Amino acid sequence: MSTIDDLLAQSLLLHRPVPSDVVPYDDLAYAHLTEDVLLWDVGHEVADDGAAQSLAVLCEAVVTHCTPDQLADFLTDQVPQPRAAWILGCALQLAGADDGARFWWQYAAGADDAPASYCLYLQHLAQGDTHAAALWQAQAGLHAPGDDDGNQPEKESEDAPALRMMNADTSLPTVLRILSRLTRTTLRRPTPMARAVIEFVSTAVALGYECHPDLELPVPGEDFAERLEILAYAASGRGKHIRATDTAAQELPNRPVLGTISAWVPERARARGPEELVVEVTAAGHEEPASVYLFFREAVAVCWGAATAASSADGHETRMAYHLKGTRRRPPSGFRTVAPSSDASPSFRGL
Amino acid sequence: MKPPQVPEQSGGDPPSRRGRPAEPICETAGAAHRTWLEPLRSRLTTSGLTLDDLALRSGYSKTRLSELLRGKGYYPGWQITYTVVRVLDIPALPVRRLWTAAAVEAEKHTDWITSRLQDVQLATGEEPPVAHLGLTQAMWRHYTAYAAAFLQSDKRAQQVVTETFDILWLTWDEATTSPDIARHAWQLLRKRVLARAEQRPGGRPDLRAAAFSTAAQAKLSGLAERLARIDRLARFFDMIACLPPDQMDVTVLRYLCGIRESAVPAIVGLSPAITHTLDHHARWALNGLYPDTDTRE
Repeated sequence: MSTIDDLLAQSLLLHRPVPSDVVPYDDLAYAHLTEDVLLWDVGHEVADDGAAQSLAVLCEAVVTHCTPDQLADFLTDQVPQPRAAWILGCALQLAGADDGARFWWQYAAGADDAPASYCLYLQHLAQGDTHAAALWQAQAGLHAPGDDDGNQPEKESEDAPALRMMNADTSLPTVLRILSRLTRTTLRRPTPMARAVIEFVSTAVALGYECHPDLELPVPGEDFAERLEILAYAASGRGKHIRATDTAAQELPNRPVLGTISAWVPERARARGPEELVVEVTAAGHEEPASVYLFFREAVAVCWGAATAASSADGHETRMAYHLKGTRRRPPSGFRTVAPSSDASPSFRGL
Repeated sequence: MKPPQVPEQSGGDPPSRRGRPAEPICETAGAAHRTWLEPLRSRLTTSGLTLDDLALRSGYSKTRLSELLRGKGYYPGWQITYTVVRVLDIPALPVRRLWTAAAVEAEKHTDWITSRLQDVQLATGEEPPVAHLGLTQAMWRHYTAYAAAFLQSDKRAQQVVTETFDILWLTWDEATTSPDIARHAWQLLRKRVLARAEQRPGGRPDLRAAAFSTAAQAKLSGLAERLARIDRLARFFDMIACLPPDQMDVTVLRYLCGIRESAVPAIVGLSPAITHTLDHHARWALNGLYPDTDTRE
């Protein structure tokens, strides 16, 4: 058999061995007549970096600002609700599991979750698949002719988006787009919760692939929901301060450095976070205030229970304050007595 | 129930019964001509239109249409072909390409072809079905590599692959009813490649010329050594062409085209287990066919 093996090993053909003009074949005349003969040469499509950036920023914003309740909102032990599936998809995307993210987003999009459709649109655009991106764009119901995030990443106050906002389009895709533009200019540091969730999810997915190598989909293990919930509650033990502006970059308030043991201690009072916040929203001069406030309310609705306008508003109507009430959070199950110990950190990581 | 096959009168009498079966394609029609004519005819049949209807909608006489559908007489102009294509709601872009190839085959002058094409403005924005596009993107490179092994030139290979995907697009409805579209597409490609490839006695393809294009001989500097290597590989490739079709395909894809083992099943449309068996059997058969005594140079 070795002779045959040798010969087979030598059989590999060169790529493009013969220049086409050397060999005179009759049927080559056809190629000169139709310039679109090579229409099917669909080798490389240009991937859209801007879309990839937007998607990354959006996923970070989502995972950072979601509450443990929303994240761990599961229908059964392993099947999340659509909104939670969307968040889970974002976590997977951040962990680099594109296919897994796409699976959960498709699941959520199938349940008419518009943000998931929008995320799919961005993902396909980032991979250069304009056809599929257009499909998901239609699903998400975007009006804008094109997402020019990629072309103007730095400018925050272009006229074109502001004009588009003039018609007060407060549909969720538009809100998300604005939110993604905002968060891009702020200094992003993932919260402990976000980081923990991403790590946990990626580990779970990796384990899933090991156990079931044939399956292309991320199969959450048993008790996925419960572990995720515990982890999320553990890691979110600090309050969130949101200041939404839409002009120059502003640094978010410092978050505690990961690694300190106390960060993992799940004291009940701290796990809850602030119940109420007062947030100021400022609209830039050229932007329609009403739409900005509407956008803010929509964006906030992703993370908080209710946003009501506080009574104070200055005369120019460019600044509004909102009173945010936190979501109702029940204490996590099976979590009442956890002794703070140095093992708390590795045990959650090891999930 | 079928009326007797009378030759069509030049006057083009209307059929006495609706939906008289179409006359077969004329024998003088070339292979490339048949390539686009056959899908056209089958679409006409499935549409349920008679020649009368077609004449009414297209504005051409029944005689001319009948000649077009039978491939009789002179090679049809693009204008009438395009009109029929539009009436039957067939995508025009692939037909245009195939019509051009057949026109070249029918030895029409380039100027004639170009001016006929320019007479008609194609509607833009015609796109193949998404699944078709997906198949094209996934298989384009692999199909081209396979075709190039038999046709030597990249351009010829691309032409054949383009033709294959055009035909697939035209017959997409039919293709989707087949149990495995990848297998269907592969067999279509195979047919078109082997129809153009040189033939050895007995009808098998001539793979020997590919010996001139191997990476192994390109690395050698001495001419005598190179020629000896080419000679040896040419005989070996001839043996490969003797293999049964599926075995030959798997061998060519894996070893000549250098496609990795895990990708081959998807290309030929067979399961990984069967592909692995084919590879195994091919090697065993080659071992029997290729005499060991020739190993010494």
